[in-house]
Amino acid sequence: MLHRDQIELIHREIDGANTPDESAAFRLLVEKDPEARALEADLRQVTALFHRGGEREPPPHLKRAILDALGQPARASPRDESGLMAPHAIVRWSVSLLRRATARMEEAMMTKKAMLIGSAALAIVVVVAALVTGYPPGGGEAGTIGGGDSIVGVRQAARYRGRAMTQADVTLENPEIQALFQNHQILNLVKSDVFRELMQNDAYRQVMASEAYRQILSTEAYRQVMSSEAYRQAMSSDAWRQVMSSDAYREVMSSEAYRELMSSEAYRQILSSEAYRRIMSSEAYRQAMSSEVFRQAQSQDAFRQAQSSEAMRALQSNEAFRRLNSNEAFRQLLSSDAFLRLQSNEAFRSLQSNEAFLRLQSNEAFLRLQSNEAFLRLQSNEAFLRLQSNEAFLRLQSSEAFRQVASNEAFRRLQSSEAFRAISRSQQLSEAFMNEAMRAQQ
Amino acid sequence: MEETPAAADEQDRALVREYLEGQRDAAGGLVDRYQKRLFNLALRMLDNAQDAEDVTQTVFLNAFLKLRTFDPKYRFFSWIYRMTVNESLNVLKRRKRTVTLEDEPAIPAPGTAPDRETEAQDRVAQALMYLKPDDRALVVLRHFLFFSYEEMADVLEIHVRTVKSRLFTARERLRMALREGEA
Repeated sequence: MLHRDQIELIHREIDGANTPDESAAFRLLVEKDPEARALEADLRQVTALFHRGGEREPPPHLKRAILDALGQPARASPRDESGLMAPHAIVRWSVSLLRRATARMEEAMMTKKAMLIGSAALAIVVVVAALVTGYPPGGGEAGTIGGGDSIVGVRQAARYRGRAMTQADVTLENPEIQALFQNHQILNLVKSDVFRELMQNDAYRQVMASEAYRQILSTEAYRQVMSSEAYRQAMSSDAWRQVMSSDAYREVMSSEAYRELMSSEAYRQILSSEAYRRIMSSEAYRQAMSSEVFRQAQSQDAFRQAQSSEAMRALQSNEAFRRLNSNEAFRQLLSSDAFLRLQSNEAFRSLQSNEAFLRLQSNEAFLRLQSNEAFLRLQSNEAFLRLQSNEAFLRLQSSEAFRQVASNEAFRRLQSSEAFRAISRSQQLSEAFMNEAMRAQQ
Repeated sequence: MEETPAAADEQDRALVREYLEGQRDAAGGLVDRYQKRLFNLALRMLDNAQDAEDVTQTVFLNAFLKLRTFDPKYRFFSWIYRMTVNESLNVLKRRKRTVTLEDEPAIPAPGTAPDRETEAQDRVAQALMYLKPDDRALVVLRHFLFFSYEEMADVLEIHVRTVKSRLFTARERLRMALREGEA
């Protein structure tokens, strides 16, 4: 039986890594020991096999494709002067490089869509909930509005609690807010059991109390998204409601892999990358995604355009995108049963090709919102992640009442109003707002 | 005449410097120097020419995009090989999702291919696929690119002792697999 050192001695000899003394020891060993001789013979056979394999020449267009991708002419070399047309090489490079990446990209986008749906729904829930429950929970020194904020109808606010109405009332008397207080659809939602249940949820309350969420609500991008027709239509579509109520969606939202993914730095970087933004807002992408053919064959023209676009190429070479693709949680999520079922879910598929949903995705404000730092922080917020898989939250999203609120005109106007932004920025003003809302409900 | 390692490093450094100084032709020089070796490394790792081409393109593109952050005190050689190994491993990981355990390749027995050359190629390819990807990288670097233990350690960012141990184990596994194939 050969000793470990003897086996290594033989291996090193095969590799030519022995010193002269070690080689002498090796020769002695194989001379005396038949087992050592057999091992040496076997190993030489293994290595000889590799040497017989030989080396292959790379494809003749490879160099040109690489240099073209870098945006420069290839230096003349005999091997590259094989008559291959540069445009052909470029196309070939794009297609070949992106061919396999396509599936990953598609998956990534779908994942993101699912996430966005959840986020958008949360926006509605939070805003509506804010009407009746108090915003946000928890104490702390009240914020103020004024100074640099030149908001119509809103001036310097004083502490509201325990005091008579102050200047904040001016804001609360905003016609958009008042219209909402009178709206039976809002009141129906508020009175629903799932809504009330959600209000008791810790995760929900933590999200509402988070600085990130407050910041989102006060951004211009958020305001524009909320006031967009595309948003309204997407949120009120049947497909959206069905996705929300599907088991697969619930499972994805509550999976550990999804949570990890949302918390990953790579994912955040992707969402805020310029390349991603350009893809999402490209006409080619929109056409590809809305095409039925897309799901059956990737040879569709629009899809190919989207794939070979400069933005897609930039995204592919984006370090964050690459890290995301190799992120274990991401891989797990994509291969999970729930995610696969979600992808094949008819409603989910329908939502992806929904015109309003696609317009929303390419909406400039929506894209800006996604790359907003506060929005990104919220995605990885532990409470936010828990909330997304919360049963009451999911049931609420798929409820008819919720759907009506999402498409409610008064609600939209409120969210896009300057007054509401002011409320979002101020804790004390929010509290005044809640009190007023509760009074209106009674 | 074959380039010495020191001369090769110096040549790489010069091309990197020229590229960063705006001499765009230097990119072609670096591609000329490495495309064949990187392509073959990826090919051995992946056993698929199209994938190997993709990996080679991706690696070069990334290398040029990141060249400004490349620390010249390290060897370009190690850096770009490491990227190729890592990119190949990434491709294998993605591929793994659709490959079941039953797909583990068997090394074909001698005499099963139409000609000796094809047979040799098949056996080599299948033998490599028999190894775990990390071990496959070691075998490829050693037996196809003729790296020293130290160079392998540098590329894979592991200790020389680990290189030896894993390489020897991989070869032992191959030896056994080849025997089984012949049986």
